[in-house]
Amino acid sequence: MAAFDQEAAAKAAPAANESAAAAAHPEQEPPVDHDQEHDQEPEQAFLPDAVRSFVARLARDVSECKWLDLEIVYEEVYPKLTASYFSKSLWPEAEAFGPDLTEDPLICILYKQLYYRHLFANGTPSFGDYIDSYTVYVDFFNFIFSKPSDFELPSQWLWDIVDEFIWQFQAFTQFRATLTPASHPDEIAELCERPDIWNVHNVLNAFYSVANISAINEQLIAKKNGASADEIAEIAGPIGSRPLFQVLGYFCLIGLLRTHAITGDYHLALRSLEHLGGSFNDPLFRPVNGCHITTFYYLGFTYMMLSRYADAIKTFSSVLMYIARLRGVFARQAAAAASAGTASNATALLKLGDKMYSLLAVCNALCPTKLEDALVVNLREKVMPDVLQVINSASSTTLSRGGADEVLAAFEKLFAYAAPKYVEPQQQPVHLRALTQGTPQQRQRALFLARVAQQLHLPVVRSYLKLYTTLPLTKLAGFLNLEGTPAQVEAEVRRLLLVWTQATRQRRHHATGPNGQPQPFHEGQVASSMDLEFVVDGAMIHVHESKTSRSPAFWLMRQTERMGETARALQVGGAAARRASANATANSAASAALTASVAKPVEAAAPVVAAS
Amino acid sequence: MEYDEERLSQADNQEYNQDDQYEEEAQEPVEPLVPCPPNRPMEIHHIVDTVNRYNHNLIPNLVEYVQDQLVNDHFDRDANLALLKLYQFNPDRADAPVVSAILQLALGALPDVDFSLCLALLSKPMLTDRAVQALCACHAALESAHYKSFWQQWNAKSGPKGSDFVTSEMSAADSESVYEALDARIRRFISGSISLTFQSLAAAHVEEYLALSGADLAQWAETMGWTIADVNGEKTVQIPESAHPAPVIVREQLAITNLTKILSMTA
Repeated sequence: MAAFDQEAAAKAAPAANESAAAAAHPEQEPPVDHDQEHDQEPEQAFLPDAVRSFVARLARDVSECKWLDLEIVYEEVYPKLTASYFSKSLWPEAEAFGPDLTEDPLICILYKQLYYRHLFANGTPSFGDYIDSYTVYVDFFNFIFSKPSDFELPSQWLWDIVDEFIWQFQAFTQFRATLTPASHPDEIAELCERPDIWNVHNVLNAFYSVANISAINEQLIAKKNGASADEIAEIAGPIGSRPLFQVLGYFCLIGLLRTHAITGDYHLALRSLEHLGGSFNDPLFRPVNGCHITTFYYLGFTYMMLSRYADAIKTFSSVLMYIARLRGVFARQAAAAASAGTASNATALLKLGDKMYSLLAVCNALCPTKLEDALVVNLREKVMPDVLQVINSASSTTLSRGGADEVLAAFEKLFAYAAPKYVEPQQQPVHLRALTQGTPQQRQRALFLARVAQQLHLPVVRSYLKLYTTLPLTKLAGFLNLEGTPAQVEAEVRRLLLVWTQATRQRRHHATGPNGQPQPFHEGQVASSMDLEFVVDGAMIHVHESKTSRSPAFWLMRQTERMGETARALQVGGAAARRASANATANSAASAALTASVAKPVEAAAPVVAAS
Repeated sequence: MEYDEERLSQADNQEYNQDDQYEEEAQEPVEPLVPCPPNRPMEIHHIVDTVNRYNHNLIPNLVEYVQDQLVNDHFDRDANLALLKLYQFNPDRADAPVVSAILQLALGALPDVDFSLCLALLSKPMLTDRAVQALCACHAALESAHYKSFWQQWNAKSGPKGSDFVTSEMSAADSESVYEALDARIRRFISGSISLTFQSLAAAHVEEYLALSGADLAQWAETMGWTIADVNGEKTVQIPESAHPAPVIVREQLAITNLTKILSMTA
C-alpha cells in the first residue's frame, strides 16, 4: 500500500550495515559495557538460554498471531529478563540470534525496537543509534503498509511503539540542537545528506498514513452519526475493521495531538481529536493506561496554552482522579521495577501525574475553582511547596512590582518542570542559526508568561470583590495600593476590571455541543470562568456572586447511604457473632432496629425527589 | 542560496513524492473529512483539511487567500494557521509581510485567542521582525485594556497599518476599506468588553476607549444598543441591563439515578 519513506529506507540500508560494522568503534558506543560484548566475539557465549528461548517464543507467537501469549511475553517475560540479565548492559544485537531472527522482517523489527528502547532508556545513544533506531521505525511503518493483514500485537505494545517513536523524535531534535559544525563536522555532514532522519514531515506522515489506512476518522464520524455496526465495518474496510488497526489508528490520532502540541500548533493538536467525541471511554482504547493518561496530559496542557484554564482544570482533574484510583497498582508496579533496577511504565505515568498536579496548580491560581478534596490534598504533596505557597499567596499579595515578579518566577518554575519538551520542527541542516534562536521551549514559555503577567491581579481583585456586594471604585483602588491622582487611579481600576472581563471569558468545552452532537475539543461556548459577576455603574461596582443552592435531598441521601452501610456492617458482624456466641439474639435485634430506621429515611427522601 | 535550492529540491523528492506515491497507491483522491465551512473556497478547503496542508508548493494559494480575507472582511483560522505552519516547517519560504497581515486578521478575531495561536508558530526571525513586534505591542495593549495606547500605536504613521503586504498588493481604496473593516472588528471587541463590564460610564472614557467622538460615537453607540444621556451634567453612556450576564444560581437536582445505591439496599 503506502510507501512510508521507502526511498529513505533504501538509502538507510547501506547506512545500517555500515554502522553495524562500525559498531566496534568505541566512540560510537553507548557507555554501557557494550565493548565487552564485542570483545567476547563468539556471540553464542553470552546468550543465556532464557533469552534465547524468549526470542524463539516471540518469533513463534508473532508468526502464529498468538497475541494472548504475546501479551505475557511482552508484559511479563521481557521485563523479567531485562531485570535479571540486562539491568546493567544492553540486550544483544539482533544479529547475535542468527538467521531465525534476522531473516524474518517483522520479528527483526520488533526485536530491534525493544533493543533500542532499552538502549535509549538506559544508555546514552550515539548519533548512529538515533539513525538506526529511526530506520527500524521506517521499516515498521513500511511493514504495516505493505502487509497490513499479516500481524497481531497487543495494544500495550502498539502504544509503547507509538509513544517511543515520539519520545525519540523529541530526544533527537534536542540532540541535534547540541551539534555544531565545529564540534561534530561528520554528524552535520551526514545530516545534510540524510535530511529525512527524524524529519518532522516523516513523523507526521507516519501518523497520517496510519490514520488513513485504518480509516479511523471515517469510522469515528460514522459512529458519531449513529451508523450501525455493519455500516461502520463497510466504511472501515477489511483493514480498518481489524481491532488492531482501530487501536493503532486511535494511537496515531493521539500521536498527532502530541506532535502538534510539541511544535506549538495547539489548534491543530485539538483538531486531531475532532471526531473522537465521547470515544475516550470506548472499552477498545481503555486498557492502555499510558495512552489514556498521556492523552489527558497533552489535552489539558493544550487547553492551558490556549488560556482555556477552566477546560484545562476539568481535564487534569478527571485524569488525576483516575490516577488516584489506580495509585496502588501503579505504586506496586513502580516499586517492583525499581527493585529490579529497570524503568517501568508505571514510574513514568506517576511522574506524568506529578507534572499534571503542577499544571493544575498553575491553572487553578489563574482561575480559582473548587477542586475535589482528594486533589487538594495531593496538590499540597506533589507541587514544590515553596512554589505552591507563592502561587497561593498571589490572591493575598498586593500588586507590588517585586511581588508580581516573584509570582511570575514561580509560574516559570512550574512551567519548566511540567511542560512537554518542545521540538524545533525546522529542518536540517543545523546551522549556527539554531544556537542564536533561543529554544522553542523558551519561546513558548515566554508567550505563556506574557499572558499570565497580564492577569496576575485577577486573584487579588477577586478576593476583594468577594467581600462586598457594592464597592466604590476608589475603595478598591485603595485596597490595591494604586497610586496617582484620583482620575488616574479610577482609570487604572477600570482598566483592571476590563482585563478581568476579557481574561475570564473563555471558551468552555461541553460534552454535548449546541447541535446535540458530541462537541469537538477545539470548540466551546464563551462563558465566565469566575464564580462571581460584577457590573460597574458610574463609580460603584455591584457584585453578584454565583451560588449553589443546596438541596436537602443530597444531605438526606448521603446520610441514608452511610446508615445503610453501617447497618450492613453490623449485620455481617452480627451473623459472625451469632455463630460465635450464645447471646446472638440481642445483636440481631439491634441490627433489625437499625435496618428499620434506614427504611424510614428512604421513604422520607422519596417525596423530596418527586418535589425536585 | 545555492545551498537552499538544493535543500528544497531534496525536500521535494523526499517528502511530497512520498505523499504522492501514497495517494496513487491508495487509489483514492484525498477528500476532506469535514464539510467545507461557508465562505471558504473549495480549493482552499482541499489544502487545509487534507495532507496537502504540508505541501509548500501550495503556499502561494494560501497567501492569495489571506488577501481575499482582508478584502472581504472574513477570517479563516485554519487556513491562516496552515500557512504559518508551512512557514514554520520551511523557514526559507517565510514571508514577514504576509505574517503581519495574518496577525492583523488575528487581531480582528479577538476575543478569540488567534493572535497567540499565530505567535506560537512563529520562529525567532519572524518574532523579531519590526512589523510583527509592533503588532505584538498592539495585541498586548488590547489584552491589557490599554485601549488608548492601542489606538495610538495602531494609527501611528510608522505603525503596523501600512503593512507592505496590504499596501503593495492592493489599491489605495482597497487597503483603506481593509482597515475600515479591521477597525470595526476591533471596536466591536472593545465594545463587547465595555458592555460586559459597565452599566453606565462617562462618554469621555468611551471616546478614549474606542477612538471615536461626537457624531461617530453617537452612531456607534446606536449600533451597540447603548444610549447617551446627560447625568448630573456629564455625558454618560448607558448600557442596557440585558447586556450583563446574570449571576449563575445552580440548583442541586437529585436525579433518580443518584438513588441507585439506596434503592439497592432496600431490595
